[in-house]
Amino acid sequence: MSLVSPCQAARIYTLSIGRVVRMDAASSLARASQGIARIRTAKALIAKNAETARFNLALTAEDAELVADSMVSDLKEQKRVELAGGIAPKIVDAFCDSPYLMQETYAETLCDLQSAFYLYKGEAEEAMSDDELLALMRECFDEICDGDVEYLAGTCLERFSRVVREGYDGFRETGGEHVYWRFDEETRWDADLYLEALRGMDQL
Amino acid sequence: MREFDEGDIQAIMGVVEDLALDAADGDTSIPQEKFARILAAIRYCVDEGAVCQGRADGEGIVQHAAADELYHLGYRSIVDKAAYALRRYNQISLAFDDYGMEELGRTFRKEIPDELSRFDPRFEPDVEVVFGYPMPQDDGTLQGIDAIAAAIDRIGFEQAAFASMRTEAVRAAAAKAARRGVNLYEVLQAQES
Repeated sequence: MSLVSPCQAARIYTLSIGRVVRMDAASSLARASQGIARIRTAKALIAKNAETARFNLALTAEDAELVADSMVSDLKEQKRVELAGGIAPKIVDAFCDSPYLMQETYAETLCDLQSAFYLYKGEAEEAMSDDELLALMRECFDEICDGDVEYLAGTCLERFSRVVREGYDGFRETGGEHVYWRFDEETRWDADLYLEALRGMDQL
Repeated sequence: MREFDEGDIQAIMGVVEDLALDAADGDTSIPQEKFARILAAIRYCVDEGAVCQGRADGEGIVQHAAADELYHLGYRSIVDKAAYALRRYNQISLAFDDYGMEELGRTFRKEIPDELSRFDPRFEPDVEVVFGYPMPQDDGTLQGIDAIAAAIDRIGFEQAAFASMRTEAVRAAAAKAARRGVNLYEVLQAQES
């Protein structure tokens, strides 16, 4: 991984001339900031183990590093700068009691949720706060996707971010909860089909 | 332009963090573009502070003060300039007359107050400002409150000059200036010479 140190970033910043800070200097400082966020994230994730123990979920130091490294590449890809301890600890808070989180795939799922979060934070053009987006993700993850992050990102979040870009802001009233259903396009319960199946069973 | 050293960067990191966290409004991250804007705003305030400090020390631009001190000094200076510009604007508006020139009226009654109320010394002290009424001194180098204050001063100067002339003559020149899309005072000066 090629992170610049704060001192290297400082040198690049020193070289920046003119009233407007050049984008390359800003990018270098942003990368230095990511380095700090990476360390904070890994530490914060280990600290979260104490809270997730009751759900039999824990991250090893290597897992925490993996999630933090994944954050750095997500941030680079989505052209974002982390300021605090990253979004991963908040994802843990929001998802730890989900029935679809399993210890075996916990770190991997966290990485996938984190990638989806950063992608759709930008796709929704910053209109949704972290908490609103996390609430929407959690609800869809449990109630629509049955724990499938690929479906969550590729269908639910893709669809919802589109309506947000088109001007929908109803999620603000509910903090991101109970709003996805309005835009759900799939038939999830077909009563006629169910009855037909029941009748078929009677005939057996 | 003051040159930054590594100590400056360390000193300014606290300011960067404060502004970035405010800009994030409770979120943990911001887009890189927004981060770059924040750095540009900080740099502008530091430069302003360096000029203020240099003036106080009898130097051109100081090279030795800590960047965070210069930032706060520059930020204070910009806030003070904005307050002064507003007082000056209110003073001129008491007797302002556009002499029938729509561009002049719109710039003074709408564009300048809009810029003053929108002006954000923390996140956009270096905003680019453009007015519809042509200002002869405007070569595009002034930014933010300096550009707004310069426009107010220029209009104040012109209003004082117009007040000492015959109103009919100014009105006639205003119609001509409006047709040509040029500065009214310059039209009057050209007529005099």
